[in-house]
Amino acid sequence: MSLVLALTLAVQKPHIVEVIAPGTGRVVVQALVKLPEMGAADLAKAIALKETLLEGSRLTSRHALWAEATHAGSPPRVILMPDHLRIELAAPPGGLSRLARVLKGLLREPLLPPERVAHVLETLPFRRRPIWQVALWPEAGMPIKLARPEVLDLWRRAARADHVVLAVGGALEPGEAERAFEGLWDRVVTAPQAATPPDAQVPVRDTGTVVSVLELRGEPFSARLADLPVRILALFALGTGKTAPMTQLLREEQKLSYHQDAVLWPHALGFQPRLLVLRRLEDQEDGMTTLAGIRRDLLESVANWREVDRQRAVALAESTLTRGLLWNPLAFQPDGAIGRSFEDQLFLAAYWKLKTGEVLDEARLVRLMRLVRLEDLKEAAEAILANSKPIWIRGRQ
Amino acid sequence: MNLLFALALGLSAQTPSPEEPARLRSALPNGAITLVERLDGASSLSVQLFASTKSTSPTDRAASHRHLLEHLVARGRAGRLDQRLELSGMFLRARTFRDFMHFEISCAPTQLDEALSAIAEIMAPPSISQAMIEGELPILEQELALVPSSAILAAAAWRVAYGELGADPVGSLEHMRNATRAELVELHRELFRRSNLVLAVSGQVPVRSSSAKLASVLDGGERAEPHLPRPIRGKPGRAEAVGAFGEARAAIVGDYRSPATMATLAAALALAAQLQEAFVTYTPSRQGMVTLGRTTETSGVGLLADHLASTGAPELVELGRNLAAGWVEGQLREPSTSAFLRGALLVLGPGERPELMLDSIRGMTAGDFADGLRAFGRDRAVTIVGGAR
Repeated sequence: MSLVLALTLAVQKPHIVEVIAPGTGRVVVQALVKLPEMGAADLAKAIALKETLLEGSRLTSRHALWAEATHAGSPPRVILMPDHLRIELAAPPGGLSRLARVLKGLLREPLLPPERVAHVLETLPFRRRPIWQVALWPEAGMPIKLARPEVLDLWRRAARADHVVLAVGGALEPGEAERAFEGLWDRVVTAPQAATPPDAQVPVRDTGTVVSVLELRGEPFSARLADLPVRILALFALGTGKTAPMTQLLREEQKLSYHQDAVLWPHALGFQPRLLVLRRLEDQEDGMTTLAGIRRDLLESVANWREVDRQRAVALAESTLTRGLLWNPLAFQPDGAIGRSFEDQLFLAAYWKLKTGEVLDEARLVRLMRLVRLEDLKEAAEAILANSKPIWIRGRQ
Repeated sequence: MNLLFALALGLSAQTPSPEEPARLRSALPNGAITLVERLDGASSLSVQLFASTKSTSPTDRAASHRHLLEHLVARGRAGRLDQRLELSGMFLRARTFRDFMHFEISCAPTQLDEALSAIAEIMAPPSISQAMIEGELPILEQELALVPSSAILAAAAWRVAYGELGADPVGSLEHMRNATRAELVELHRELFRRSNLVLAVSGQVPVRSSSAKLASVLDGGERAEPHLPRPIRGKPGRAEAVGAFGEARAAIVGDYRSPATMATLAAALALAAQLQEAFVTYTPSRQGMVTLGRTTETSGVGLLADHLASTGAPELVELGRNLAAGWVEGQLREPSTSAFLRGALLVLGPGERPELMLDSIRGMTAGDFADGLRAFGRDRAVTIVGGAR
């Protein structure tokens, strides 16, 4: 990313991460709205929000929104993840104030047309998602009977000054973002965001394809832990690249799977390490038995790691953080890893701020990873494996 | 909306100078083509080899063998290519398309020599054994089980429109199982004939000296007569795609440069913007398909396409133009996607370039756009619906 200036304007609301990159030839605005820990009902509301926000607001009609937000050639997007919802808009240079007006409308007075909300909620039970999206987020998409006021209620609880980080990047002047969003929030809500809802999320019954998802789901941890670099590096070591043990063991040696990955997944508490294996099972094969074998073999592999394994993980982590390598465990989007587009890198800067409270310093993170000792790396990987819960989402035979 | 084969990254615009051009394309005496593009400010370097399928058979069997060969070749001659690259933070990705087999190495700008060494290893005659073929089949079986509905829908549309010439590049296990070592070695020789190769590099590298390095990798071999596939006209129709969920409309298009093709792409993107979770698939070629579909639901795409095809939707012209131009420009901003789009076009011929697409998009009229929409109408497009396995 061409990062000329990255600063956080935290002294006054709204929280803004500004990334000035004149060569991008466009202005990009993202609003990252932190979501409360969601049960099944809130999740259905969040899905309805995701699919109806771009219908416009009291300030900007749908037609005007789309006309305004496609001059730069990329469509507006709303992306939903378990811990946040992202609205992304882009415009040619000079278009920031117009984007700010569009975004202000969406954050404060979205239309959420009742008939569109009803359509989304009615069709949820019949939807299918790509297998990797199901693997990453098996809980998404459960049918719940709701109406627009309840959807709007979730938005009112979430879209407020203390839970929104704005990422503004591209062809900007320093301070332009702050000026554009002045007065975004004219009232400050101080009540707690929401209590954890009593209803649990329900996983999907099956993957919807012939392929099963086999998972070792690690324990969630805070994004502010001091040993975060070790934990992330352990995921690079376990699953990133074709010479990682997950690929070597499960694909090359045992021929169990074509797609397997170790990912760092967003969680309301911070992050969650997860090892995912997509496999079409043999007849009569028991997924839990296969998972037990996978855990055993990976633990044995980790015990035998050598310095070269540590070096490989550090090299791929450095490639990801400094050059935007696409194959990485930072699964902060519905399809998986964060990419190398300017929009993705801008998002990463803001998301890091949202999760850790700090501006992302890629070079420092790489330096800390380089300092990780082999024994500490092995210990972190073993902890992920040993403390993980096996989960099998069945394929359709 | 999701346009498959689309990525974007904003980078500084390149600044050409008389001594060092922003981009240098060379047609070598043996028929191979090289391209080096300097993208100032790019932190990564993308090195991509394209092996055109133009001189190989278009049948299902050949497509299956190509996919199998791609798996085997990507390991390198000693089977340790990935290990070598990943230890240096580099990454190799191999894919098989209809028009070419593709290898990409993502690395740092300082790692061009190592990347070219890996490319040379991929091009060298492979050491393939029957045991290696058999060992790869279970992995391919797992891969084929993962083919997404969007790809199954698009493959079914190609089959309807182009018959046997529309073979699915993913291939079938049945044909892969019957592949012999000798067949794959011969296929490699044919595919990697120098006149079939394009080597494209994009990133912050010196253009002239890098171009010389690329030429030395592709050096040698005799020039073969250019193979000019006979254009055929795709036909509309309807089919069920077994194992897919969703629906698609695929418009039959001609040469990627033509205003009609670009208007159809613009129409697809404008249509997709009206739908939740729609996808558009298009790979620029001499003839092909622009596929608009949705794999989350089973209805809505055809209804909308027919409705807007009848109205011409003048209110969507600017949206379509912006999205189509934005897609092309987005590809050209980042090393990986720029090298891919430029390289894929050079497979068609040494004069082909994405700027020709932009010219057609910018010159698109409301009438062109309306024609583009009509290409998705029931009577002119291929309609595909998902079906149970």
